[in-house]
Amino acid sequence: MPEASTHLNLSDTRGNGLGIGFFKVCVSLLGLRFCLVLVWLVAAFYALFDRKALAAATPYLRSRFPRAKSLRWHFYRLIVSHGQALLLAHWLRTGHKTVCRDIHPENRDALVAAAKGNGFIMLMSHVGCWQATVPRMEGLDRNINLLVQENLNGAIGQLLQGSRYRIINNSAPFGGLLECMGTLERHEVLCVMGDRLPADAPSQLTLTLRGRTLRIPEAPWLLAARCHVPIFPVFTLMRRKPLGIDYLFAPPITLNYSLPHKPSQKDFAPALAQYQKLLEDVIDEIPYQVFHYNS
Amino acid sequence: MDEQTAQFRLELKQKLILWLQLEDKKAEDIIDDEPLFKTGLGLDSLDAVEIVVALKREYGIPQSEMENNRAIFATFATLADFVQANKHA
Repeated sequence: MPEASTHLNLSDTRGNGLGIGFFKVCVSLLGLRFCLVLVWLVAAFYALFDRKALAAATPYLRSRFPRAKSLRWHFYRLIVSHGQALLLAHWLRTGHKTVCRDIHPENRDALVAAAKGNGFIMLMSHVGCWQATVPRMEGLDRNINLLVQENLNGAIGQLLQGSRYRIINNSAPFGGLLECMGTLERHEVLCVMGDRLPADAPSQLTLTLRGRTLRIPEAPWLLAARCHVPIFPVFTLMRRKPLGIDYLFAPPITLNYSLPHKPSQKDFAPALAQYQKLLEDVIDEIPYQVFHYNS
Repeated sequence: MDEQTAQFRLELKQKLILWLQLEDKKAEDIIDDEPLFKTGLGLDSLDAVEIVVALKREYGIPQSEMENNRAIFATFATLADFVQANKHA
């Protein structure tokens, strides 16, 4: 199976100003439900003509659907889900609400308990309407920080209204990591994408998902190990009609906090195995809502 | 440079190599006035995290002092001078 080397995130490159504006008008005039259906039509264009996106998604789709003769239909479903996730994110950004449900609320309770006496890292992934993950942390009575590439994620700021949210730019000196350490020392919450490797990432870790190598950032794992905080993976699944969000709170992942030297991939292996299992379960259940592929 | 400072810098270089697992480096490879990050020694942001943690653990230097004073990471000499002046252990 050819493994394309790519950093493509569909969110960064798909759509243009005219198309996005068209959908924004449609949402405001015709509502979310209508536009969620309209996406099925528009996505057909991308499914047929967007070769770059297809090439980027092919290793993932091939690993998920190894017996498929053609991946075109699966790619189409992927584009539809991606469009619907973007619409849902826009819907939330413009002040609307959607139906939300917590899966494994006991894990959310553990997260809330962790927030009372300590900081923690919330590990997000490009799954479902991932943009809605951070706002779900409202009510923790803690400052919430998001480590992202600010110039690529300006729209996220619109979702994070309020004085308790702060964006840490990962293109700042030292990748913003010293600021991240400060937030954890002050027992705040740090939200980091777990599956996206920044273009200038100094180093990386790897996971093997269904025979496919996924390169992931090392920063959240190193920060957790060195700041003595747990990692809480959270996934947003779109499983309800009309689109609502199921928040899948996974059990906290703890690490070896007493290493006398800089941890390596080997040191992180047990924790990474837990994250890998979570990703595999998500891929099994909602294969069309996985939107990022560092292969 | 007095003898005490020279000795301290040598020890700090050896510790840096240990903390950061710089297995292909020796103390004499770390030049006092060369940049620690990118060019020079070639450290990265993850190494910065490790240095902050190690200095806090070994010398009792508060994390916030390093977080807010990034100029200390410019060269090994600036780092060593900072540590020598602020160490509590």
